[in-house]
Amino acid sequence: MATRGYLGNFELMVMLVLIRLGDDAYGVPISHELEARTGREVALGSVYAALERLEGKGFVSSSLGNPTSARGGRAKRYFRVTAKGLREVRAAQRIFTGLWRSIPTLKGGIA
Amino acid sequence: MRHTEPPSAATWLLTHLGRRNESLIGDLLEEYRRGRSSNWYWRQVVAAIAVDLGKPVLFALAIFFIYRIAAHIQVPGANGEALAALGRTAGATTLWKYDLVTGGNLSHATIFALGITPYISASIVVQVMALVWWSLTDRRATPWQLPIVRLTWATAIVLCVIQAAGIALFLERLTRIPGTLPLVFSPGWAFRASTILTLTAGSACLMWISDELTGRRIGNGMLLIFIVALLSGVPATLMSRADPIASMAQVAGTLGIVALTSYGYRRAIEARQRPSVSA
Repeated sequence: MATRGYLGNFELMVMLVLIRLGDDAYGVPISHELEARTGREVALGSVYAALERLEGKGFVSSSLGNPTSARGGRAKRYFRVTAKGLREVRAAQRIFTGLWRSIPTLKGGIA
Repeated sequence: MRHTEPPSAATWLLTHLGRRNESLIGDLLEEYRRGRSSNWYWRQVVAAIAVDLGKPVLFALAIFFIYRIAAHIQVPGANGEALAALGRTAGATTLWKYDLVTGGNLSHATIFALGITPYISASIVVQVMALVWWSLTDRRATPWQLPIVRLTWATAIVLCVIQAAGIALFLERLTRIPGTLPLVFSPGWAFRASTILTLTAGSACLMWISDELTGRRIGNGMLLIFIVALLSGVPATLMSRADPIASMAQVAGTLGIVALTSYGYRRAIEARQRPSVSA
């Protein structure tokens, strides 16, 4: 049986945030979006750990921006979802939607 | 009045204990300057270090496990019971310090008898050579392509062969002295060759694990393996010493030298991996 890199719950959230943010996806806006959506404080270290895992699976690619003085001369690292990553998100959506619809009591909860 | 710079102690900890993720440090600074509190900064730093240190701790436990297994695998042709008796008396001899840094593997003549020390010695020699030998400053993409890494490996293998031959001859000599422990079943070239091959392969295995740990940015491989070996040998060896406190101080001094050496080796590789700055 072929093995595939399933997305964890937090990883899927990070992927969806990356798609939503588009070209401006680096650590700070990613964590802001996650905090706004979950209502909880997010550790940037965990966000980077998830992004590095996703990059290792080939779902995300990254590039360095220009260093700025507001960041103590450190560059921003921008992240983008790859075509492979996008396919994985769509596959996860199909699985979740199918599972959700198979539970009668929660059926009304999805659009 | 609020400072524009975050708590310097937290930044220092993140830089030295974490994996030096410059983008993450920049993100935290940007957020702090936008008005986040010092408490928030500290929480983020602690979480980032915990995430970074998780893997090294697991790997350290795995290496510890490997060391414990290796402690039961002796070189072919050696007398296990006689070596165990020698190991019990090693604490009282000049052998104790060398035995300690190999986690007790030296006195038991196991496959890790040489430990990671030949690699550490080689890296000291090559770092000094790199200061005067210009061709060692070549910049390449991967560590294995670097002349400094290849030369360190070659020097370490030569040191392993010399030290392993020394151990084989030492065990044979002890065996030949009448009334002493029969440490080797049948002394001769076959025993010497198999000991050299086994001990060199054992150390090369540790050197490979060390490079993997460093290359995967899990931690300073050389230092991690040295500390694990030290910890697995400390209780048994120190307990048999008459002066455990003074012995401990000597061990701490050795650890300091190893830390400096491994840090220097890592920096030397990182400096050569960076692309050259063009005008």
